[in-house]
Amino acid sequence: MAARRRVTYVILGLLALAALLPPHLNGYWVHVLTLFFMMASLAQAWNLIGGYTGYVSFGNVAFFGTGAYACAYTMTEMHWPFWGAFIAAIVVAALFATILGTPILRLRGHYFAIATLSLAIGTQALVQQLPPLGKGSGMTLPLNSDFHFFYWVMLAILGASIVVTMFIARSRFGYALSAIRENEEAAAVLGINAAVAKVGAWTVSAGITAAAGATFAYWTSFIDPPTVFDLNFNVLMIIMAMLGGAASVAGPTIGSFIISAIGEALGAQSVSPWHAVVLGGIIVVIVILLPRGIMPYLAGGPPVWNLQMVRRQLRASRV
Amino acid sequence: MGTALTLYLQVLVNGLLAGGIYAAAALGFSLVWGIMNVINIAHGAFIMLGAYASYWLFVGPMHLDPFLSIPLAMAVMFVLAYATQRLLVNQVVRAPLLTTFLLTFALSIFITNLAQVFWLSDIRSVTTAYSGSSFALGPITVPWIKFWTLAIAALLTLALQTFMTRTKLGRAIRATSMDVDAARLAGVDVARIYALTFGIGGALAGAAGSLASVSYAITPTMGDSFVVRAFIVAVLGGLGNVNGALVGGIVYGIVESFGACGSCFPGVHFLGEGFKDVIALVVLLLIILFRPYGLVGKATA
Amino acid sequence: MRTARDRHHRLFAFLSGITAASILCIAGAAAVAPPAAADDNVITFGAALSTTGRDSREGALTKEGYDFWKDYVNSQGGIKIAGKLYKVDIKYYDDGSDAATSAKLVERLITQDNVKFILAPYGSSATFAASAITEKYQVPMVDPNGAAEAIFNRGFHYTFAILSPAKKYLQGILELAMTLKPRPASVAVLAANDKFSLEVAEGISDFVTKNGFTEVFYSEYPPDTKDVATLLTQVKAKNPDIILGSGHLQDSLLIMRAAKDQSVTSKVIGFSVGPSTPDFITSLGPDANGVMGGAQWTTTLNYIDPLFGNAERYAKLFEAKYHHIPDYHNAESTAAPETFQFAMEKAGSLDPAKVRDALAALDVETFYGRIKFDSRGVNIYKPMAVEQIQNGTHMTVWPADAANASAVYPLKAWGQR
Repeated sequence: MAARRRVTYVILGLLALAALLPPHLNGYWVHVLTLFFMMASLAQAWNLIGGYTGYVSFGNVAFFGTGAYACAYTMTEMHWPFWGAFIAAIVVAALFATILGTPILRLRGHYFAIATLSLAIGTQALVQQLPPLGKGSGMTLPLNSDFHFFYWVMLAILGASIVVTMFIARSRFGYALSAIRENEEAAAVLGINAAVAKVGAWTVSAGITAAAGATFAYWTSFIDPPTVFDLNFNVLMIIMAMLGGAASVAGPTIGSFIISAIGEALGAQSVSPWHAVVLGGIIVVIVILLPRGIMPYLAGGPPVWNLQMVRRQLRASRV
Repeated sequence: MGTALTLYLQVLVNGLLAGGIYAAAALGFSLVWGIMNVINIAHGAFIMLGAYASYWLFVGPMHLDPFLSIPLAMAVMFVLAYATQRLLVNQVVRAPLLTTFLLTFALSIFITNLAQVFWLSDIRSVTTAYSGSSFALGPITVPWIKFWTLAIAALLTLALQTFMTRTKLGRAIRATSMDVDAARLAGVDVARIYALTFGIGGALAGAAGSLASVSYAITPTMGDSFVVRAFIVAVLGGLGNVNGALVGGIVYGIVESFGACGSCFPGVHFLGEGFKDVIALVVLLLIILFRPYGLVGKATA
Repeated sequence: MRTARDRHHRLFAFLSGITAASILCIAGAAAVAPPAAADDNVITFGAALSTTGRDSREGALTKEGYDFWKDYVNSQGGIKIAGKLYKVDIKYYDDGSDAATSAKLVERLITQDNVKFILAPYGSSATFAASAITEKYQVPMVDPNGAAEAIFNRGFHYTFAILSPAKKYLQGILELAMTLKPRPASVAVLAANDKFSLEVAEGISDFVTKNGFTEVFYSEYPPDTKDVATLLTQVKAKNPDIILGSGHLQDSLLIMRAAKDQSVTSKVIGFSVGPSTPDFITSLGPDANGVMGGAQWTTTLNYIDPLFGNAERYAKLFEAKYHHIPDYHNAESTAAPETFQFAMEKAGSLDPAKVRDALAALDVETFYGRIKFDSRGVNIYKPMAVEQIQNGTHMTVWPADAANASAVYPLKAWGQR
C-alpha cells in the first residue's frame, strides 16, 4: 500500500512541476501537454466507475460531449463567463449520470457495456438533430488565444481528479465500490447500498469528464458532434486506465502518459497510416502481457522483465 | 390513401431487405460472443477484408461474381480468424471482458490501417451487370441485389443452425460454451474448439463482406459501422442465438427504415433520416433494460 | 523472498527512470523549441491534410494540386521575390480527417517547424479549427476547399478562401434550370448534416424561394450514413423535377445507387460534391451520364493565367503528370499556393504581415478564376460553374459564356444513358 501511495505523491509532484513549464515551451508542446492532461483526466474519471466499481462504461464520452455543449451553449446563447459555464457543465453532466445511471446501472457486464455504448452513440445522434445546438454544424465559442490558461486549467482538472480518486479510495465509499466490483451480491449482504454507490461513482466520473469537455470546448473554440462524442476517446480512456492499472489512484495517469508518448513518437512525423498500425500492434502486446497494467510492477512487484510472472498470468487467462 | 400505403409498404420492404446484411454481419459476431464470451471488435475489420477479397476476385482475371465469391471469401477469412485466435485471442480468452475487448479493438486498428497502407483509401465498388436492377411486387420495387443478400443471409443462418444442432462438432461447440471444464473432461480439445468457433465467426464475417461489396462503398474503414450494427442486432436476437441474429437483423432494419421516414408520420417530429440512429438506440436501450436475453431468446440463469 | 529494501530500491529505480525519461523528453522538446533552422533559399509552406480517414480521397486530390504547383514552379527555377530566387517546399502532416488534429498539426507547423505560410486542411470543419490557430499566431492561411461562410464570420484577418462560398454551390444548377424548357419547378433537397452541406442547402432554399421554384422535399442525413433507401423512397413519392444532393463524394455515390435500385428518376439531378471527381464516373459507369455537379472550376473556362496560361494548358500538364483529368479539387488546390505566390511577389517580401496585407488587397485573374477577397476574406468575385457528365466526359454547361456543350435535358431513364 505504501508503495502505491508513494507513486501517487510522485505523480502529483511532477504535475506541480509541470505547472512551471509553459513559458519555456513552444506552442506545439503546450498543445500536446494540454491534450495529455485532458486524456489523463478522462482516464482518471473513467477509472472510478470502470476500474474501482468494475462497471466498464463505454458511455463516458457522452459526458464529455455534454460538458462541451453545455459550456458552448451557456457561453454563446446565455453569455455566461467561462467559469459559470464550467460549473454548469459539471452540474448538467452529473444530473445526466444520476438520472440515466439509475436504470442503466442495474445492468451487468456486457449488457452494461452495450447500454453505455448506445448512450454514447444515441447522445451524439440526438445532439446532431437539435437546432439550438447547431445540429451537424456544431457550435462556435468566443476565441481565447491564451493557450497557457487552458494548459493550467487542464492540469488543475487532472490534479483534482487524482486527489478525488485518492480520497475516495481511502474512504468507506471507495471500499464499497471495490466490494461491488469483487462480488456485488456479497456487498449487498454486508449492508452496502450498491445502487446508490454505483450511481454516485458514475456521477463523480461524469462531473470530472464534463469539466474536461467544457475546457476542451473553450480551448478549441469550435465543437461539433463527431469531435466531442468520438468513441475513440472512450476506448483510449479505457486503454490508458487499464495500462496504468485500473483500480489504482494514479495508474490512469501513468497509462495515459505512456500511450500519449508512444502516440506522439510514432504519429507526429509520418503522413501514412503506419503509425496507427504500430500503435495497434503495441496495444495488442501490452494487453496480452500486462493485463493488470503497469501498477503491480511499480508498486513493488517483480520487475517487468520477469517472464515467470508473465507466463503465469497467461496460463490463467488462456484456454 | 393509395400512395401512403405504397410508401409504408416500400419502407417496410426496404427495412426487411436491409436487415439481410445486418443479420449476416451479426451472425459471426453473435456466435463468438455467445460461445466464447468474446466481443470481437475486429469483426468489422474481418467483414472489410471479406469485401476486399470479393472485390479483388471481381476485378482480377477471374471476374468472379461477388455472390459466387462468397465461399472463397469465407475460406480465406476462416483461416485468418483461426490463426488470429490461436495466436492472439486465445491468450486472453479467460481474462476479464475488458481485456478481450481491448485486444480485439487494437487488432481492429491494426488490420484497418494495414489495409489502408496497402490499398489506400480509394473508394472501390463492385458494379455488376445487374446492379440497380429490380423487380416489382405490385407498386413495390425490390432491388435484386438486396433480395439475394437477404436470401443468402437466411441460408447462412439455416446452415449455421443445422451445423450447431445436427453435427458432432457443432454440439461440441455448444457444450463447450455451457461448461468449459465439463467439456474438457468429456475429452473436448477446448483450445481447438475455440479456434474453430472464432474461425467460423470469421468465415461468416467474410460472407457478410462479400455481400456488402456489392451494396456498399469498399474502403478500409467500412467495417466500423457494421460492428456497431452487429452489436445491436446480436443483443436484439440474444447472444449466441443463431436464429435470433436473423430476426434481430430484420427487426433492426425495419425499425431503422421507419425511423428514417419523416414523411410516413407527418406531424411526428422525431422521425427522419437523422433521427433513425436515435430511435434504433432507444429501442436497443429499452430491450436491454426489459428483455436482455433478446427478442427471441429465453431467460437463462 | 524479496526484502522490503529490495522492493523500495526497485520502486525508486523505476520511478526515477520514469521521471528521468519525462524530463529528458521535455528538455528535448524545449531544446527543439527554437524554430527549426530555415533554409534561406527555400520558402516552406505547411499543410495538414486528410491523407487518411473519411476525407482521404479529397485529401489526396488536394495534395496532388499542391504538389503540382510546387513541382511546376521549382522546374521553372523557383519564384522571384524582391529580386531573389527561391525554391519552394511543402511540409505535410496527416490529420486523419479530424478537425481537432488539424488544429494541433497546424500549431505544430507554425511553432515547431517555423512555417510562416499555411495551406488550409481539407474541408470546412478542419479549416474552421485551423483558422483559430493561424489567427492567434498571425500566420496567413489560404483556403482552397473550406467553403463554409461560418469560417469567415468570426472577424478573423488571416484566413483567405479562394473558392466560391458554400451557398453558391448548387445555385448554378437552378440558374441553368431557369433557362430550360419546359422549366422544371419542384425541387427535392438531400443534405448531409455537416456545416458545409447545410450551408449549401441553405443557399438552395434561399434561391428556390426567390425564383419561383418549390421545395417539395427536404431531408438531412447523418454524414456517415450507409443506407439511404428510405430517403429515396420518400423522394420518389414526391416525384420532383429536380433532385439536389448536398454532401460529399461517398454520399453522392450512395444516393445514385439507391436511386437506381428504386427506379427514382427526375428531370435533373445534381450534387455539390462528387460528379466532378474521376471516381464518380469510374464507379457508376454509364449511369453517371446526365448527372450535373456544381463546379468551382472546369477545364473549359477561359481565364488567362500568368503562370499556366489557361485552364486547358493546366489540365494538359496536370494529366501528363497524374494520369487523370484534374477536377476542381485539384485546380483550387493548385490555385492556393499560386495565390500566395502572387501576394508575395506583389508585396516583394516574405514577411507574413506584409504577405497578409498583399492578400487582402489582391485582385488577380488566374486559370481558376478571379481571385479577390471581400473584407471577411471570402472570394465572392468568382462564379460557380455547372458541369454535366455526357458520354463519360465532363462538359461545362453553365454559365453560358464558359459552356462548351448544352445541357442534356431531361435526364434519360436508367438503362438508357
